Amino acid sequence: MFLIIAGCTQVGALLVKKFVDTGHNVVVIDRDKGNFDYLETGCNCLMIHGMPIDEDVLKEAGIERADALIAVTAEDNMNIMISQIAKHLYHVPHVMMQANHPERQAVLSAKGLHMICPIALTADHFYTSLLQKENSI
Amino acid sequence: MVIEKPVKRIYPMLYFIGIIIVVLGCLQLVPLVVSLIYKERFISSIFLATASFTILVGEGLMAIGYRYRSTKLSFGEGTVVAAGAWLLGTMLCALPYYFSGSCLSFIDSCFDVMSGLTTTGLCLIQDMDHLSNGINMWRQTLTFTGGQGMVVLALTFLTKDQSNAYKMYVGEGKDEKLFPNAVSTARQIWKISIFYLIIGTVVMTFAARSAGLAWDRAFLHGMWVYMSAWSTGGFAPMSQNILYYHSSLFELCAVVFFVIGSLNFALHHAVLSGRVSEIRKNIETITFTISFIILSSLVTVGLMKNNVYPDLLAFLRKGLFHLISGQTTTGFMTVYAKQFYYEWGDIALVAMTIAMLLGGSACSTAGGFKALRIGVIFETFKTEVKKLLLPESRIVEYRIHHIKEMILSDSLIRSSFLIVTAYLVTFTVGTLITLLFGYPLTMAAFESASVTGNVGLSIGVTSTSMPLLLKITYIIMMWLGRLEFMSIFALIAFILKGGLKK
Amino acid sequence: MKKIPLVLILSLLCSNVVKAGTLPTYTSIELIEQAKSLNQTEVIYQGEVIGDVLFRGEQAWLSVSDGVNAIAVYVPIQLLPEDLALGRYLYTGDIISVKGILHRACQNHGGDLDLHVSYLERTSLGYPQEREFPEYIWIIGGVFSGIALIGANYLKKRHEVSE
Repeated sequence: MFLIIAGCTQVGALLVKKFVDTGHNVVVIDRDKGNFDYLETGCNCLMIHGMPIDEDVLKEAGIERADALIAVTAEDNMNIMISQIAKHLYHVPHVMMQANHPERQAVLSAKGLHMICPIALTADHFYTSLLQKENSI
Repeated sequence: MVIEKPVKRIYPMLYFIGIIIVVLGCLQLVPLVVSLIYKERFISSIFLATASFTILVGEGLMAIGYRYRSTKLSFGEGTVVAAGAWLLGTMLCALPYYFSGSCLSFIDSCFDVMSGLTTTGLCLIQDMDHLSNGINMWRQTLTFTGGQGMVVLALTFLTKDQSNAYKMYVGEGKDEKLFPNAVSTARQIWKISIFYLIIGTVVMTFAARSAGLAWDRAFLHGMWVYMSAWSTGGFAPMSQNILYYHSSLFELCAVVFFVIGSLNFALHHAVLSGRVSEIRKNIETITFTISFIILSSLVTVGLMKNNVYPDLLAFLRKGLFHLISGQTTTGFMTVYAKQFYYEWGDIALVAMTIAMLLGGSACSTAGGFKALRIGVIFETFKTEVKKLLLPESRIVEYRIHHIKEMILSDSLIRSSFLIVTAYLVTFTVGTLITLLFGYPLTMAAFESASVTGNVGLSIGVTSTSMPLLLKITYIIMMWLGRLEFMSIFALIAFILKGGLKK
Repeated sequence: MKKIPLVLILSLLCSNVVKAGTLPTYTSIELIEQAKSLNQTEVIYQGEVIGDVLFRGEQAWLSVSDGVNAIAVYVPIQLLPEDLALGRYLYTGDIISVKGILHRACQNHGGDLDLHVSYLERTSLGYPQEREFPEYIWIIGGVFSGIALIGANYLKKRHEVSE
């Protein structure tokens, strides 16, 4: 699979590692060079330093032939924009993004974007695991 | 927390070296098949024994390091794997030469293997005109594998634990990423090579047929010369090299293929995926063309002055053929080695020496400084002069075009200068050592440039009767030139450090 | 009048050539290293025919090796023996002796160093090289490949266990 990961955040770096180890082609884009330190040295992926909403940067990353894109930068608006560019301009088959505000879910789903909210996921996880424990007592 | 002992680090490295060795063992099955087809019983038995022995050694190494196979290697260790595999691989690949009696001594066998794997093309093999098809196939298999890289070949078989792939890939003197993943890149390199292998074998077979060989011989010779041309190797099945065929068509086809082979794989990839204009814009093709034009005018002047060749056709087929064969670091010859020395004259020989040192493109099968580095160094001089003319406070970013627009960064400049200096030092040391054995300067410089740049044109120094020390020096120089120094220094440092820590 | 001794010398030389055999026989090393001085002169060269006969119309290329280098020889086909044996693997080709003009950089053949032959003689016939090859290498090979297969199996099993 040819995969682009926008944002070399801690989540991004972990994703890169997982996909690289299983033999996928991974390109990671970040506008801050220092963020690439999250990756291992000599990471078997392509690192591109640049703004992930810049079309030239995205083209250099090979968005035209990408099978998937995951937007995990720290800013929600940026992620939304990257996802929209990927989905509507370049028709990348699988586009996923991270957004920190759970309330955006409805709007983004309506726009056809696959959103994952770490905050909502964490809350859900706590909630269900506690309920499970209570039931078992 | 347990701090890992340094000696433990060797296990994962042994595992990866083991994989590469197993692949080299499997490669010996190719000449085994050829020798079986031609009923060369003795040669087949040798290849069966050496192939299984090599595979056995590789499996042993893999078994030793198996538990640690998913350990992360550092950059240095990755390069040590590449260099170590080359060293051990060379010795194992020399076994067929040695036991079949094709080479006089084990060092001669190692010389020939190193010459093949580094795509140099100097040979010490005995009685080449009576060589079996099996051994000839083995020589060309080595060249073809070495051109793309044995690590690159081994990487294509790596399905899991790919996180160390890039570090080993870099260790073999290639750093271009056709795909983000080094394994995909390695596979793409082999796809491009196999694609051209099929086209090239067909074309060269017809060229050899038109030169007058019978069909089956034409096929074998066509395939071998193609494999050698594409890898910019320089081995040919007969001792007269390309002169044997007496055909301008055959020479022309060979030139086309070794020029294609000397181009960057990234350029191939760009062109094959539709970006044809890249050929015109690329800094490497521009550098190569300009330097070739300058050097060819030098060779012209040199040859004209001595009145070496009677007419234009002869000049093209001898003068330019050797210049382009030298600069692409191929090493096909259509004259006898000594003719360079006795006939060509100093100007042409100096131009040839420079051409051989400059070499082809980076990340190709060619050797030498590489056009990319020459381009970078030239651009650096240009920008430094430009900076002098601009106001001091102005900050300008300079770019070069190589596949994409690249910033002429300090790290790029530094690595270019570093490697070029290393090549120059190797060349100088090689020349000096050759001089010490009593060869004249032009000969020493020519042969030394040929060895350093992995070219394979010979002026007559390389022969079975040359001193043992010189043979070893040349083996090391070829190895250094092919792996571009750093990984070998890492290997040496690793061995010394490992020894000291105990 | 000055020309008379010259003509005399020349005619003497020519008569020598006609007698043949009086011409010196050169080795391939001498032909290559002294190509400049021997250029356009008639020489005798002897060696084994190797590889292929490359036909070019009424002429043919032979490669004649004296064990050090192979020299390209351009022969009219009517001079070629019918059953010329060529040196290959395990086969020593016919030894021929040729008389011809050496070209350091032949104008007709793109600057090749070659010998345009006017006289060809087969001095000895080719023969298959009888060499004894040890058969026990097959056994060694068999044993090694057996162990290698077992080893491959072992690694494969270990791989499956760790999955």
